[in-house]
Amino acid sequence: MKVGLFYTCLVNIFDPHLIGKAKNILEFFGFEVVIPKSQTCCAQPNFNSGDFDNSKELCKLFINNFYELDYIVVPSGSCAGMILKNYPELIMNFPDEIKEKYKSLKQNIFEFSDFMYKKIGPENFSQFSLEKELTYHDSCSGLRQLKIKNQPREILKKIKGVRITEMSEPEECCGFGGSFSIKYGGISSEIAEKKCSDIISTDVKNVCLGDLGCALNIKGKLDWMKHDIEVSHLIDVLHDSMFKKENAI
Amino acid sequence: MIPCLKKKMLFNPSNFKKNYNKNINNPGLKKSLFRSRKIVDSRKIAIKSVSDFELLRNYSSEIKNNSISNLYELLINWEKNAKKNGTIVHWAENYEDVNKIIYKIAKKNKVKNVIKSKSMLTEESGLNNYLKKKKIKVTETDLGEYIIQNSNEPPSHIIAPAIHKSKEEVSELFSRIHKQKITNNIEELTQQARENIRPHFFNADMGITGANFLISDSGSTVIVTNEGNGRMTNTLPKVHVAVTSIEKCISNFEELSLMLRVLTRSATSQNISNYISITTGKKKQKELDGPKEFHVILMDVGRTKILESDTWEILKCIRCGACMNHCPVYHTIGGHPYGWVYPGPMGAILNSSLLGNKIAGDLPYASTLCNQCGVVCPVKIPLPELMVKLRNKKFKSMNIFKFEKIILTFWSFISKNPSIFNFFVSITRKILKLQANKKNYTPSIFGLKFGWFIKRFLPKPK
Amino acid sequence: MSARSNILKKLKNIKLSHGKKDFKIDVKKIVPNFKNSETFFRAKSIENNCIVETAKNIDEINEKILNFIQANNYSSDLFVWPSIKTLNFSPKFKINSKKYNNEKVGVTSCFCGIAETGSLMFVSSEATPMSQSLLPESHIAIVRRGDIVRTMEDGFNKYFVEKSIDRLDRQICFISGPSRTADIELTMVIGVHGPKRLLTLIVDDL
Repeated sequence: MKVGLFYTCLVNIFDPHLIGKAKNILEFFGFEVVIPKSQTCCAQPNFNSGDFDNSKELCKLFINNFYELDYIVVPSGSCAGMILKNYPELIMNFPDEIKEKYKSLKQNIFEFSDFMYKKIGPENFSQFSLEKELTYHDSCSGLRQLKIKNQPREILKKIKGVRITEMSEPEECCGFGGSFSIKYGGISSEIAEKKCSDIISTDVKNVCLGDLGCALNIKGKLDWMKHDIEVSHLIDVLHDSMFKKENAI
Repeated sequence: MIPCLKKKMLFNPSNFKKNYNKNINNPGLKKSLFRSRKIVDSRKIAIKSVSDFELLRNYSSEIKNNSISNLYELLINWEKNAKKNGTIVHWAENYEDVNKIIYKIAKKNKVKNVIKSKSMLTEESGLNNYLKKKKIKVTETDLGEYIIQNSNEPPSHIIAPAIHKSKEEVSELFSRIHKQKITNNIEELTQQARENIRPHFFNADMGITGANFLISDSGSTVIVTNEGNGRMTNTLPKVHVAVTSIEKCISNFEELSLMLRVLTRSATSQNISNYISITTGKKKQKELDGPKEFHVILMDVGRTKILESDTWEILKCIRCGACMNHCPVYHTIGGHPYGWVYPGPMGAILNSSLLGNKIAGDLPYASTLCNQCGVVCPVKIPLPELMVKLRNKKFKSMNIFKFEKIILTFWSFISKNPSIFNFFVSITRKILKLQANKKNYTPSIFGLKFGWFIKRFLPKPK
Repeated sequence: MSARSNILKKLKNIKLSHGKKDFKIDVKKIVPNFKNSETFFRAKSIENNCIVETAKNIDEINEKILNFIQANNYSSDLFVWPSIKTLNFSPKFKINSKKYNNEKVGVTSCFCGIAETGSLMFVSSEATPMSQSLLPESHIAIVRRGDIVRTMEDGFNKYFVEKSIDRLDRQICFISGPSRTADIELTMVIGVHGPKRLLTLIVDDL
């Protein structure tokens, strides 16, 4: 089965290692991973800022890059959400050919943890081990647009040695909001402080999540608050459990 | 012309940034906003007392979808029935007319003292100041409205207008205006308010209320309250005026019963509000109670324009306040920075829709689009979607030399050209790595601590 | 052109069809499935900070009212709704049914009780002046057991048995407890402008 990986612009800039890690994980489970070289951005920054016209062209690029694959995996709830929820309106006036491509693509696109859960299954992770106590932050788009809640938790719980301590409000927004974090940085930073205080009071040393935007925000704030807490994408944690030999129990 | 908005006034949506910066650094407000979070938990309990709250939301949403689509028929029918029962119906297309109509009624009835039960629409029209200039005394009787009237502030929340005030601040205010024993005890403060407001109920010549719903089949107006001042206002004075807007009309009492279930749970976490008053007409013959004249002012200031637009869904709003109760932005900055009558997510949308892009176009951007509001909205308004639509309107009207527009145009340009995009990515990574210190984070870019860097660092690219 | 014609013209010309055509409400799917209306009514009323008592006959009504007055150090002055003034109230009470004279206690009948929310439904008229359920410091409401219905919809249906929808009484009011507010620091306080206490007497018959 050919799985296309849409790694997202933030991963490209801030953590391209996640690309290789995601590839390793998917290949381990027998998927052939295709990483289209001409991928760039899903159009979310433009769309959310109200720039619909420029967003439309970017939709076309994404659709053409990925429509022929069996599955498309996106390590970001907000990007997957953008493609699934907002593309239909943006491509409304496009030629039928593009709309048909999107229609077939739409059924096969998954946020990363959702793909792991539905196409691989939590049981397949019980063979791995990793000593890690973590708390999980629910990214807003993943949670409210795509209903990502149990999927990452069920998988993590299966890994021997992983313990999840829930923060008091895991579903509260971390304050990132894309360009909001720059345009209204003062407000964004204050919201981030509340999220980080919640994380800090769990006493765990690692927060795991599914969106790099949230990760940059939370890590950046924790660093400023002088708290040494690791912030990992789910891909990092799964990869560590699967490929770091020292973790084998 | 918006009577209550003047450019120089600090309380104005175009002063959003200045106002929120002031509020972020206000520790007292922080405490008040933190305290108000308890409503999030109490709502979770309240919604459990119906068997299927999600189904209830679907019903309420459909009732509103239907009513909004049929306002012509509903209002014609409502007016016919209202008049049958002796209601005097007025229609107004702008704020000046709303105020003038009320003044005309007051003048005809030689009104000197007015009592008011909460009405957001009269906040929109700036009625209190208008009547003050005409030498008519207006007393707000809702406890929260009474507090902010006397402290000369605008409301900061649509259900609890004084939510930003601590009991100490209320105590200080009451000790000044009541000249009674100073107390920090909330029950004693409430008792003081009861004693001091009570004479006004009896002295008033006219009572002004809002209306939560209009019932088309019977020509009734409905108010949903807890304190009792609403009932005093619609019963004791010889003249009662209810000010409402056209989108409040629903069909019948079956719909009302349903809407009430979702409204009270979403607004105050109650299974039912303490008092639901359904008024149809003036005092009947031989009745001792009730006003001899009952007027309803139906206003359409900007509503039909919104109805025709792609943000029509904001007209479904039943003013419960759940969206702002769940909004991380509202909980950080409070209500005042939104600069007009309505704060929070529904405020960002409604203020921007009614006041226009130039004055309030920034408000829809003040959101992370987390949708914590949308999932609790009792009538399922897709609030973040509407915000993005309004952002589109603002974006289109922006000057091409505006920094934001330039950056976004640049971003979309490079995103359409993958090789240029990848080149840009590698340059950015290099710059950020250079700017980062030994601790794996960047404290600023070229020394500039803009936006992102306000009390926050940026992780170094890996 | 008047504001009215302008507004109606605009509304008439806007063709909207946002609602579903075959939309039906099934209230049974929403309202909790309680068996006994009276028990549920009682529980909800108490949750709403009402005091709930039962009385078999006028003697017991008198007894409950006397207990209430004594417990609150009230005088024996009662304002009683004209609708129930002919009941055999105890001679210990000084009954006034004409014009309200600042009595601390108002005694009223009510149209019906609503079990789902523990509310009382009132209808205004010459014999049932609504302000007398609002002005006194305490309100005693007498509701017949047989008049407790399940939901607000049932309450309206009962009302419309005899009333025509376009000729309602001036006010229909649902009262669910003593007056309250949470406007200061979102802390609930019982007793604001309306009554501070509500005693509901469920009686077999009047």
